[in-house]
Amino acid sequence: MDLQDIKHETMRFHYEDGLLDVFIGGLFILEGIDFMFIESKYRLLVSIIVGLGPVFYIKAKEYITYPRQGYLKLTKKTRQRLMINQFLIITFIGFITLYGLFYMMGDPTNAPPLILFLNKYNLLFTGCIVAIILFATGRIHHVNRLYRYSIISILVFSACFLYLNPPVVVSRKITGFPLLINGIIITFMGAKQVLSFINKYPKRAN
Amino acid sequence: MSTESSEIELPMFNEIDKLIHEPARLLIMAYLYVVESADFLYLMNQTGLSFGNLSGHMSKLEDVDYIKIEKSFIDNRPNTRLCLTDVGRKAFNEYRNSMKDIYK
Repeated sequence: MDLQDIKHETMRFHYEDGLLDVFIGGLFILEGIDFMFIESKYRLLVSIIVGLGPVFYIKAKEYITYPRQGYLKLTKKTRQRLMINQFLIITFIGFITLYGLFYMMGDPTNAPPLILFLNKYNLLFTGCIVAIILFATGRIHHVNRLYRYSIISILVFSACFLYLNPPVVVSRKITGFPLLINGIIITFMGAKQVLSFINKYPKRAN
Repeated sequence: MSTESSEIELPMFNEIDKLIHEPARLLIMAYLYVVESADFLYLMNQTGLSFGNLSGHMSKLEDVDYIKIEKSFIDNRPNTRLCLTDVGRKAFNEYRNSMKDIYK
């Protein structure tokens, strides 16, 4: 008996409901809509909705998951480790790379060749970063489905790069489109997972 | 097998906590060891034990103070939450060590 295996199995069981997938998909949809349609004065509203995401997630867990699958509370050490790892990934890979490197330093008139190169293939790099975030999240939380979404992200961003043929400096609208498509696909697959979870585990008395 | 070898190995086997060694209880202890707390339904799903079977094993583990059972109501439904006590955690660690000693 390997306790590490039991720990991993516990995590997989915890995320079997598919709510994490819907949550991630929803975030991508919101970000995509924000990038494509929202004017800067409404951006705060989008940020508030994104910030409220975890509250909806916890409520959905209480309503859908716990009455069917039972409740478990991970150890404090495990919860802290998960939060720190996730925070590091989002902060360092997501924020610094997406906003710092691609948008703030991407001045095409006076930019070093590397920045120009990154700007030219912006959509592909953004797709890779989204894929890395999903892959790392899958690794940390032991949710294998996120590996699938990571591959889908690369495919969606690559397809958009080839189809939209973006200019050297990519606009927010163009970046928002693959985010939105990716979000719709992940949410749809997540919703399917939620339905299969509900069918697999009927509500039971505890 | 010679008498001499049995004399050497028997004390080792006597150190095994037989209450934990039973497969179903070992599974319950292991699942509770990796979490802070879990409820009855979660353990039923994970271990595959029936309601009555799990209740019986839980009572035995509670009697020796290895697990703590808290009963409450959530949305007018009864909820039984379990967690490993410090005594239980220590006993499980000792059990793991004694098993490692046997198989080294």
